Amino acid sequence: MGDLTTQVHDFEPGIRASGLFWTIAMSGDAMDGHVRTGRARFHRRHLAVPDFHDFLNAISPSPASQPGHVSFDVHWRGDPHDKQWIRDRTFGFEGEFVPCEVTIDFRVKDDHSDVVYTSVGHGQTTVGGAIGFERNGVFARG
Amino acid sequence: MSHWQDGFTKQGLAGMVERAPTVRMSRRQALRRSAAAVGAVGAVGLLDAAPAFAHWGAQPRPIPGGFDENFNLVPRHPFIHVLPPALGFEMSTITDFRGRIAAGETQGTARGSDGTTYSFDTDMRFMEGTYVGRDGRRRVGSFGFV
Repeated sequence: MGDLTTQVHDFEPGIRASGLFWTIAMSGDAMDGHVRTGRARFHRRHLAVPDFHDFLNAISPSPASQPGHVSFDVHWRGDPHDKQWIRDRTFGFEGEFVPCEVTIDFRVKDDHSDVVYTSVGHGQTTVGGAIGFERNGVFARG
Repeated sequence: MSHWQDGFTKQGLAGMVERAPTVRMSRRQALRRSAAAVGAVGAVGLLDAAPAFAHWGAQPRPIPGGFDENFNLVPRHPFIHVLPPALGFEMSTITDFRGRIAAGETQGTARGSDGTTYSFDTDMRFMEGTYVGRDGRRRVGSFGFV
């Protein structure tokens, strides 16, 4: 485990006053995938996303940020035969899910800097990942 | 999307291929570590930076669960409304939702155009389907977690 103080960039859309966390409305053509195939893709080019520098700042009461842009292409690959049905009454969700390996290509940049950061394709590690079809809140049957 | 600068580049050896593995940290690990530093902050990051929700009522509600002030997973009244992007956890960040979801945390290496090398940790998700907006109306929408 590293030292959190070495983090130098944290690109995310911020936390809304409602508590909605790092989530923004996006066009449906940026995302595709299905449990049946075990495949999914999420991609977007030149999306305006602030850079909060580090996670501690990002979740602080008065986070500072600077404008930035990101391009990304994320792929999920799993075996649909590994599909699992999960119902969690404590956290109030249910659905069918396929565990996946997740890889990403990205380019990110602060608007006030000339430096562009690009992901390296090889050697990526999936910490956790899945695709699914789920229901929660009022749609959960549980 | 996050980056951590590695030890070699900090020491000015930009462009070194080999990276220092000790500086890696997942967002989840960062959450745990930051708990001690942040403590029990009540109102966090109330930033309204995203312009994508033009109509207030169309905004989705956050999931009721998440991490508490001590960064334990809790089903209600969290410190932050997000759970790990992994099988077995609630991966959606919006509630009253029915639809497709994909989520994943990936670690790897990134390079700067200035020759620096970094470790990165990304948590990327999308949700697409039917949801109930803050105005109580049922809608169809697509959401990205970046």
